[in-house]
Amino acid sequence: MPFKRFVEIGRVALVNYGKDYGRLVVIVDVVDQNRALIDAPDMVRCQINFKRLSLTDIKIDIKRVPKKTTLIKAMEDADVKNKWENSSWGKKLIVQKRRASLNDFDRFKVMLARIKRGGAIRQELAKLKKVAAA
Amino acid sequence: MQRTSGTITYIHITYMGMDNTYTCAIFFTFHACPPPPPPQPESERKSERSAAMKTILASETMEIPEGVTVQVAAKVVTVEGPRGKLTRNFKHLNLDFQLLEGGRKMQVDAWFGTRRTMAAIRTAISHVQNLITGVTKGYRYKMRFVYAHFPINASITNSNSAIEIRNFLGEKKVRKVDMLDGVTILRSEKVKDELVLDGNDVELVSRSAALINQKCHVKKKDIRKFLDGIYVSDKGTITEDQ
Repeated sequence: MPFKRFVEIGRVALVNYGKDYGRLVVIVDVVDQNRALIDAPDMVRCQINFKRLSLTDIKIDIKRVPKKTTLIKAMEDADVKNKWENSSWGKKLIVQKRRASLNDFDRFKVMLARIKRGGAIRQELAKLKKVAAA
Repeated sequence: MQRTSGTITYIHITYMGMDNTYTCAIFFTFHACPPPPPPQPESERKSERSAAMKTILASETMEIPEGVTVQVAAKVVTVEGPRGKLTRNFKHLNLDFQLLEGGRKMQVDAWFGTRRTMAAIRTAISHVQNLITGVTKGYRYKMRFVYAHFPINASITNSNSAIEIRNFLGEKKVRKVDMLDGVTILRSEKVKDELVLDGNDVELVSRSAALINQKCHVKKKDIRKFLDGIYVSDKGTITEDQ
């Protein structure tokens, strides 16, 4: 019940509204009650409202407003990219992106794969039913 | 300084021949100044009031004594002890309840709270403390009959869970009061004209006492003179240790 993800220096967050939608950023400073200073290896440091952020479980070890090179090194040390891509949230986002970028042929292939999978599941279920009935 | 408004009406220039000086007099007529703007009415001023300040985190911790287990899930607190089990629902509050140290302490947090929510922290803790004493010591409220001429006749019915009051101020009306859940009532043996209400939940015990008191109000008389009634004389616990 108590909160586990806190707004603190080094907290990794996902931008969920605005120009940088979907980008993983690090909170490097807190401006006031509503805004934070965020930074990421491939963007200019800027301020953003907390309402535009979704906090993640990942936290890196940095001091207040580090230099870009320090930030990049800290993110490497904490292995943010791998942790994110292996977390269930990160995996879901990757899948969503992949699905959104399918072309019609890909969707056709997905349909065939789903039918095949459904067929295999039904076969196994029939086998189990036969065993249970016996 | 208020800006004055007016027009120049007459300029008089004199030439003092002797030392080649000019004196100039400018006559100025003043217009009537416009009245000062009326003071802003109350409603307009209210909209300019700024939002109240919010405190990032306010929290308080309380000790839980031995022999009592407290469980809290989704703002519903359950307290269990030697005398029984009590629950209380705090879903109307915007507070975080958590148990620390494996159940020995309870912490209540208010995140970004206004003055009102921060005030509710301590009241929530007091409510839980009342639950704890109810479950360990229990609550005993004593009430006394007060009458000047007509003795109040009370009989306990329903296996100690209801009381019937007769002859209050000589009235023929019989007043029946049912005790709330978990509250027992009995007439004290040694003390004359005393009722003892026992229970675990202080809210229920005190409300039962209030119901008895309210049934015996005097109507249409000077209550400073007609002091009859059943009044709470003592609020305490059942098991006295200190």
